[in-house]
Amino acid sequence: MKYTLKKLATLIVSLLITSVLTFTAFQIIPGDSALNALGMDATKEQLERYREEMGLNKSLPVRYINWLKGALKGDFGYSTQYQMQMKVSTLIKNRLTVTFWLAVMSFLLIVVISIPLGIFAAGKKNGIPDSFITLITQIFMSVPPFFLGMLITLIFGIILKWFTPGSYINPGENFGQFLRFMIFPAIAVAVPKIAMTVKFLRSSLLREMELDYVRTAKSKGMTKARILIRHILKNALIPVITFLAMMLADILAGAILVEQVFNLPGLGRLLVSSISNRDYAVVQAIILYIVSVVIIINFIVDLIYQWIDPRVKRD
Amino acid sequence: MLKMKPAKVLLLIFVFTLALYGCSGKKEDTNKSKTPANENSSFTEPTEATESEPTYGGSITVGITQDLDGLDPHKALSAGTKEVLFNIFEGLVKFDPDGNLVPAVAESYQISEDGMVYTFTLRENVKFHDGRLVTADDVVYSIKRSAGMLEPQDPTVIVESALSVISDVIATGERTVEIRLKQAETELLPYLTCSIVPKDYEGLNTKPIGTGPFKFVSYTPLQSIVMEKNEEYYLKGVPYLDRVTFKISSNTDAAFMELQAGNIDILPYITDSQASSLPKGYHLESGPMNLIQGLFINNKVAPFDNKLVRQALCYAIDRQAVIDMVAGGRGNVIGTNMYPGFKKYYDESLVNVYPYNPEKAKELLNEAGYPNGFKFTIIVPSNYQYHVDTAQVIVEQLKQVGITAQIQLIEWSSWKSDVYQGRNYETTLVGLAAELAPRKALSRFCSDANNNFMNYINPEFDALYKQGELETEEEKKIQLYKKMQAMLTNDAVAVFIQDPHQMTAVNDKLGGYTYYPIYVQDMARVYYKK
Repeated sequence: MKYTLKKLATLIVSLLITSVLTFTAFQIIPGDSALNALGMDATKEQLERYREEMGLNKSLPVRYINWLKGALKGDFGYSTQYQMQMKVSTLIKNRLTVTFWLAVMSFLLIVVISIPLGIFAAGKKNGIPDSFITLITQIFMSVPPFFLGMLITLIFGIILKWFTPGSYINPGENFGQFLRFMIFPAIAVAVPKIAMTVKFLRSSLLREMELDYVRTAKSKGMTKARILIRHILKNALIPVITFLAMMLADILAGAILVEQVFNLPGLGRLLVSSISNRDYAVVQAIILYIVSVVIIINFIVDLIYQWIDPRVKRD
Repeated sequence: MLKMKPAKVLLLIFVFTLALYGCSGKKEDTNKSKTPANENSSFTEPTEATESEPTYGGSITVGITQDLDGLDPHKALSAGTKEVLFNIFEGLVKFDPDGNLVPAVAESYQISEDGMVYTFTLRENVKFHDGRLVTADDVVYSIKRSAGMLEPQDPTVIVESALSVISDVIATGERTVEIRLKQAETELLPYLTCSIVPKDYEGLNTKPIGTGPFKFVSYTPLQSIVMEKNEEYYLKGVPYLDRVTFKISSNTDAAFMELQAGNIDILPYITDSQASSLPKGYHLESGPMNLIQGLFINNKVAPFDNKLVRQALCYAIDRQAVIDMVAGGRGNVIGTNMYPGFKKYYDESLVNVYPYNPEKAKELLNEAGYPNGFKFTIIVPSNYQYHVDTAQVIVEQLKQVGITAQIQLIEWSSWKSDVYQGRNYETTLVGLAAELAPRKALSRFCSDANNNFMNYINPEFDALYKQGELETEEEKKIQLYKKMQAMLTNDAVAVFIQDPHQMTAVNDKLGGYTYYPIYVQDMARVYYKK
């Protein structure tokens, strides 16, 4: 309990610090949101009136506190890139559905494919299958997901016509079609990460194999497979879980480039357009979301550690 | 707490940088709407396109690469939004493809002799999309709203400054509206294209209601806006299509991919390389963009405060070569700051004032005291690849006369605040989009103009401009405008390069796609061929 509370306090403090940082960061980035909202030829009086109305001419701390008051109630204000006609919370909520499903699908792919593959590779250390897997992972690790996305679009979309590029369908309209389309961006996101996870898991397993308890187990006459699954895997998995968790956080934070390539209306696309439009309210909210995701996932990972390896708790 | 691996951090930073760098593709903004105004007091009905036989019905998808910045026509700012909303909303008058003003909600108008009062008679039986008749009160409300005359004023309404000359708008009958002015104004009519909306209607943001040929159906941010045929449109025979979907893509490449997959029927603003790799079943249409692309110079900073240096730049740049290299020859050389779409006002002869002549440029530089050339910076907004390419060609050309130019890329938002508003630059390469009235092309050169970002100061020009503002006689006005244009060219206030062409990929089954001298995507004329 004490442990959980401590983690919770860290969460809140981290959120506060990031919100202050992003708020200040936008003061340093050049560009004027009033000018963006009213157009290049707006007169000084119009700009002034707009700033007054939107509270942009108040001092930084005052604006921050005003924003914080709203944010605590779940009100992040209105988006300036949509001429103050759209609530930030609604915008983000709708985008999240896409990002959420993309994350779930690609994460499933990563776990389901990389863990068996990693164990297999470690089991056949330095054999032909292992060298082959290592070679393939090296290649896929270095391919950026957006490029993979383009290749997938070209091969499966335009040449083989397995899906129509850009024909994203709302999950509300037809969920099956939605998943069918999302599988392709999910593959683009997952493949480089699968490669990384395989490599990581393999080396983690091999490291464990050198340790004394493995020799003990071997001398007791256990089979190689049994040692691998029952003893080594448990220990080797801990760093891999950390790694997987960071991947999940990364995907949940929006696969920015892949969303661009597949034309998905996800969080990443919203973030990019909000930054270039100096839409402070939206960027602020998205960054808070990303930070929360990273912190909360860390928190969950810590809990999982305890479950897998109760020694962690005692520290 | 978990630690991020340094490699992971680097990867994230890399991905993020790339994202910020590569994905800001916005065509908009410089391309505010624009148009040749035309002061015909008698209206003509729009002429029908008569290429091949049109059929009724069907639906199409049009690709756009920028999300709408709102559905309320008085709040939308970007040209990309206005060109879509053109199908839903109309003003008292609207533009036709030749740049003439034709009747829309109004049937006719009269201007009083002293030019102080405009009286409009509304068309009978024009209905909003919800079935309600348009009344004079709606018109009064709409014009006052666009002019910022409503109390309390909504600060998010983009006030059209040209309407500030209006002192009052009065409904004098059920179908007549009188617009009274503070001073005589002959270039007001183009601005009365501002959208007529239902009075005190609160839902413009979410469910826009207008009088145009298409009715709003739905809008999903970052995805699409859908509209359907307005069966009760007052013009008989249009529109042809039942349904039009504007699909929002993240960038031109993604949109073009969808076109290759057959998802998009019409894709405007494609690039030169896309134009040369159109898939089967599509053809290319092109027309002038009405954009003044130029190397704009800060006339206040050394060495550009010296007219000879500016003229040397003009001689040193081969504009036709620029067009050939950047746009495959698709563009027209221009010589002054006037949109060629305003045919009456545009002085074409000024193109020949500065022919490409590097020798002459060197001479002028010598005379100005820079026999060995000099160094300067060209600021270019990074999201406009076209301008970046142009700048690169110019840098090479300037090397021939010993001038070293370097390109500095800057984010569009920063360009607006630092270069355009802050005037903190030496030279910048962008395009200035045409405005609704020709005078707007010249007003920015007045010494005290808010948007005189080139810092051009010439009392003679100011005097001419004043004269032109008050001149009511058309012929004299044209003469004055041409004089001003010549003055700008002779003073070499900037290197005016070209009016680029815009290219659109159109499905071969479709006909009737029409270019306007303003930024619109008019779907009312598009049809499936028989």
